Amino acid sequence: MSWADLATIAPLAAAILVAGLVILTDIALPGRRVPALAVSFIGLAVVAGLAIAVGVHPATAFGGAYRVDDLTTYLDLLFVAVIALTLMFAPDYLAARDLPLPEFAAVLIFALSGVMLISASADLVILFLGLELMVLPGYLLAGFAKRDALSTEGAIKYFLLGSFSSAIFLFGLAFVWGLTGTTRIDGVAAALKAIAGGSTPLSPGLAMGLAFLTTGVAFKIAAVPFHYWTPDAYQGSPTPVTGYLSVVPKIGAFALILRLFVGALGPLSADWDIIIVLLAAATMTLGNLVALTQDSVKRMLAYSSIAHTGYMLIGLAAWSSPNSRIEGLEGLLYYGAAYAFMNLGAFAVIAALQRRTGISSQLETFAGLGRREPLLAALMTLFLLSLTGIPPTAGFFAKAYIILAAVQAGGPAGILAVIAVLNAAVAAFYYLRVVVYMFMRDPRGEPAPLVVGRLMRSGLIVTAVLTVLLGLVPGLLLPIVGNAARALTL
Amino acid sequence: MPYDTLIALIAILPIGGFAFTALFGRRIQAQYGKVAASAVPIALVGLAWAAAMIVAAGAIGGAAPFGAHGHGITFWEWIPAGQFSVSAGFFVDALTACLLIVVTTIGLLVHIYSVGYMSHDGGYWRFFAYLNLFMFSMLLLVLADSFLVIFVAWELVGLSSYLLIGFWFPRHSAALASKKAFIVNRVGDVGFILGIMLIWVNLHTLNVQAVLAGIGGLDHTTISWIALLILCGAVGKSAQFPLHVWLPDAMEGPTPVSALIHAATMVNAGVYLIARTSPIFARAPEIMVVVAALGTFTAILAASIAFTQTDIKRVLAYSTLSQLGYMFAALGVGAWAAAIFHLMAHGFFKGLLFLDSGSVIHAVHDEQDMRKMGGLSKKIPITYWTMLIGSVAISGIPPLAGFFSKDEILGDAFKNGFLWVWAIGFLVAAMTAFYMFRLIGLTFWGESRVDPAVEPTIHESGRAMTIPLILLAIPTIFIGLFLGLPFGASRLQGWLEPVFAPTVALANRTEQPFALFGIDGALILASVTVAAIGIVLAWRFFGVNLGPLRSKARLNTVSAIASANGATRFLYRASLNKWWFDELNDLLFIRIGGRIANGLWWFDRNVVDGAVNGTGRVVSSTGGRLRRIQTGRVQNYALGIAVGLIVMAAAYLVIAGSR
Amino acid sequence: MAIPDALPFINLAWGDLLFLILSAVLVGSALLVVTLRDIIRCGLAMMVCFAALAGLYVLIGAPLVAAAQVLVYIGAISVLVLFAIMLTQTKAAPARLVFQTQALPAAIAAAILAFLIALTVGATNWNAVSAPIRTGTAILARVLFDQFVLPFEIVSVLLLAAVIGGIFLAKREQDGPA
Repeated sequence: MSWADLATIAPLAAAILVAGLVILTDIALPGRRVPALAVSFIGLAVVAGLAIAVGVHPATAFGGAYRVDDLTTYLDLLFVAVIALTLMFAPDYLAARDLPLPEFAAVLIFALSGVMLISASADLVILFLGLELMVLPGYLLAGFAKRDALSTEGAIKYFLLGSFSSAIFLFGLAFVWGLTGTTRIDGVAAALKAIAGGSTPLSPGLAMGLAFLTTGVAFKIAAVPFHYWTPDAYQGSPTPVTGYLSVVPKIGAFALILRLFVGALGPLSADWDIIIVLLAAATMTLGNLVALTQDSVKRMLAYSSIAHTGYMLIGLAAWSSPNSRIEGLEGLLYYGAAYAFMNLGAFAVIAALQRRTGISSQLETFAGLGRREPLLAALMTLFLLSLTGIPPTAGFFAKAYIILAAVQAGGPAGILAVIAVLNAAVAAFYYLRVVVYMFMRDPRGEPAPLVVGRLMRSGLIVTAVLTVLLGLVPGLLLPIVGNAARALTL
Repeated sequence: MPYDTLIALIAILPIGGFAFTALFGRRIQAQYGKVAASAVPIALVGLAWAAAMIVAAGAIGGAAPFGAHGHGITFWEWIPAGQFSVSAGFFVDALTACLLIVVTTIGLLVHIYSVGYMSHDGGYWRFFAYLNLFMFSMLLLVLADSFLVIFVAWELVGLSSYLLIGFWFPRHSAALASKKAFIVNRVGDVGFILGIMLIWVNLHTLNVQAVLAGIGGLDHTTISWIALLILCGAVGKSAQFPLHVWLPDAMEGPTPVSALIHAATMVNAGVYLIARTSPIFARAPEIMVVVAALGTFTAILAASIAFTQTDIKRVLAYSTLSQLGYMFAALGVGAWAAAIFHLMAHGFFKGLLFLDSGSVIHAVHDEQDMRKMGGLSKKIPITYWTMLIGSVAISGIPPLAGFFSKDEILGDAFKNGFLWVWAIGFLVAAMTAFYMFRLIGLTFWGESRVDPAVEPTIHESGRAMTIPLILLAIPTIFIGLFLGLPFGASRLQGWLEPVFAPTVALANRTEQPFALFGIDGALILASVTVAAIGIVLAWRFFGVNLGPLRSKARLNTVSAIASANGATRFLYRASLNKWWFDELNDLLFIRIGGRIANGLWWFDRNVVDGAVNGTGRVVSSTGGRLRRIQTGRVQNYALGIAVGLIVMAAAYLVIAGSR
Repeated sequence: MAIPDALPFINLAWGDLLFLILSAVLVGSALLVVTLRDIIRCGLAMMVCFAALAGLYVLIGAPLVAAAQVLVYIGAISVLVLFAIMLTQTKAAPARLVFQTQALPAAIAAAILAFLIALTVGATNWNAVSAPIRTGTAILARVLFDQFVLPFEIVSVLLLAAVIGGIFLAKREQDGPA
């Protein structure tokens, strides 16, 4: 370990330190919300600054186990933004339920360090540790409302199944290590290139290892048929946590896919791409069709997030065709950002409504919202339109881009593009159902107006602006995404 | 001001109006009253109209930047990345100019009319905001130079139409209708976006002009598929069979909306799209036949339904379907200019008819059933006379607008060898005249059947409503004379010649000279005759108390005839029930589609989620929630993952072995 | 009398025999953990399971890991688990385990998976991995604090996060704002 190594991991180290500092602040000033929040936000700003500073010069550290490139920087900044937004959405909700904020913030920032580790890992061991560091806080957060039986139930399910899938994933890593003799990602890729170069059959052990890895990863991104935990965990969790769970662990797992499947297992893409295509098709279709039947908006958004997993997988499928390597990854990365903001926003609106405790996320809750809470209703409409993929929102552009990439790729990915278009058409119904309830139904009672906190409101506005901006002027983000994509394929 | 600025302003002004009204409309309406709230949106649409007129004049006259083949401007690179490059820009040529004239003129008049029509509605400002949003979307659709931007606008017109149909959402039927319009349009949109994807794959560009230039290089099958998929989109938006079911229900929206969106502008988008992409269709003659067949079938189907409807707006809606069918038929037989001619003429007279119907509905206090009208001609004279003008125009009586455009279509169909199109179109012309004068008869002639309580309060609408009626009646009378003469080489054909000349050449049609004292004269005479017969028949049935054809309204006689024997009874019931299309769709999509989705959910919940759910429920209700975790759901999930893993391993082993 | 290198008659190396015995104990005790009805016995079976695993670690030449296994898993975790069971178990607890509702399909799935793994592992040439080396504590320490220092530190962060979360979840509810 050298000073250069330390400088390279500075953003990660800073994130861990910030998490520790938040805990220390809570010990020094017990139960105070403002100091903990201040430390968190300042700390996150520092992390972001360090990520940018370090990201200027791509470098490796710890003998090649840790690598900072444009992809790392892009993902780090995206995750910092998402965590900061979650911290803006959560306080009101937590305060209304007597749940402590400092622990929430600390655990959240620990999760941030996990995803940052994934995005910078150049070694399978680090990759796995990053994954665990990312999901473990997720289990805690899912059960954060510990007096709420549903929350605990969802958390225990999530924990048990998550551990199960982590074990499967680790087993797969062991197989890959056994066949390549190294855990370095570029080493694995080089060894696999030698193995998979010709047309000789793959060894059964490698096939088995791929099966384990794909299964483990498919669970983490909630792809069908490994999605069972999602609706329960999402519905049970406190709403701001649901927003977090639907975004960070999912995109973090996609970062892991990029590092693992594109980085290490890239030479075998001819073998795994058809599996990805099948997963994507099943995930989109089942997610959308089941979402149609849901009456709880939270559960509906859970199934919708499954569908979005499917759309993102299209980018991966497009990557495996030589026609659209960069475009596929660009699409995936862009979709990740667009999805993060619009989905967080949608959950944040629900969280804002639930500031008054005892408010369910049933569709009836949204009846007449357009009249009662015009701002919230308008924002929710924007987020839902974006999730539907109606122009000129981020969701439309992301979907258009990823579909264009798939079309460009041709072959099975081209078929996926057609399935995606059909699915997008179906998806409109359940998203717009909420809009219809908000603007075209009269509420049953006449509840008193809500107070939307300042932090919550500014967070919502930031998300909304980003959702519009990413759709209208994609040129802002596309070059960055392009660099990130190229960093991976170099 | 340079043309580029003006072109940009045409689209920017309405969206500015939308933003302003959406943000401040409610406050302005509360403080300064309704008229103030609508001042800004109307003024901005007025300015957009002025800009559009200057641009249209320039484009048609072939002024400096436009030339004969149009002028494109690029605003910004929407997708600036490597292989994908999609720029957002506008393109204006004579075809665009024709659409601009229709959209902005009728749009402006509908805005003014709405000041009167919506004056009693609390959501007044909201209505104008939506109207402005629609104007923007429609103008964007017409101006856009890229298929992707056209698609964006395509979705946006759909969205604003959804908002406007559902404007009176407390009426359950309005909410349902807006949903139906949205769903049906989605079906067409899927086809359209697939078509765009196919274009992208083959040509790597989405710029309309570049695509039209490059389309010749593709093989015939690909071109046919592209044409078919674009046709899907057009059929959805222009409500052709089998996606026609949404338009009649869309009449739940306020009447100005029906006039603007569902008669004069949005429903024409499909016609415009096919005309714009005519080089693609001209290379796919089979698809052209499909276009002609769909159009002709829709024309006669809708006309037959219009015979028996009793809701005044629904009659007009089916009439719109029928006239759109004419336009599609024209496109299908290669009479591009005639289709655009009919589009323009129909935009004016149908816009007029709808606004008239709104005035009638207003007069009889929101009654739309024609059986509860009658004898209104004296009480609301301006509405009566303008509606009569519109009806004469749509019936194809010279020298009004419909005569010229309809005869151009029928003549071209006949001369291009589509005799069946001509024959059915000929029949539909008679039917059109009949049902329109049935409407006039039931509404304005004969004895009053108005609710006695309402009867004394019937009065002509205010000036905000009557002035647009009069202003629309003027082009209804004169536009045919202006655009349609001289026969055979009309002014409009001259305008559109540079746009369609390559396509016409491609279709390889020999232009026969126009013969007023030959075949053409005979065709004109024939169609005017059948139209006159239709009018006279309607006159006899739904009577007017003057002249030698004196007759009383015979509502009962009509139903007696209709139920006379099996065949007529069947036809009557088919027409009344709209050939049962709603029932068919309900069965297909709501019943069967809903079953499938519910089945999948059931599968996900019960089979995948655990077969022991039932026992789980029982235990959870007795022993507290946590107990449920112990009852097997998690184990079921884990088992599911294990089974998934086995399948995955098997799949990978097969793949690994087969390479 | 010298002990022969391999088991007489079937020519099985002593190391392999030990491996078989330990594996059998491992699998058997693991099965007992999930099938026994008395939860205390389940806990005890788990300790046996851990011990057998420690034996396997010794066998493949990782004595330090084996020692850690004994200390941490048997010494700390199992005892803690047993204590927790004894402290929390009440008479109201279900007499028989209620979650054995799908033992048969689970068993079939597990058998198929085991069969698949055995098949594929057996059919694969694992030449990339060299022969097992006996790692002494000193070598292990050097590798751990040099080549694998980052993972090592990350694990400590992981544990810290887990501890903080564990404390939060276990903390007694306070009245009023926390």
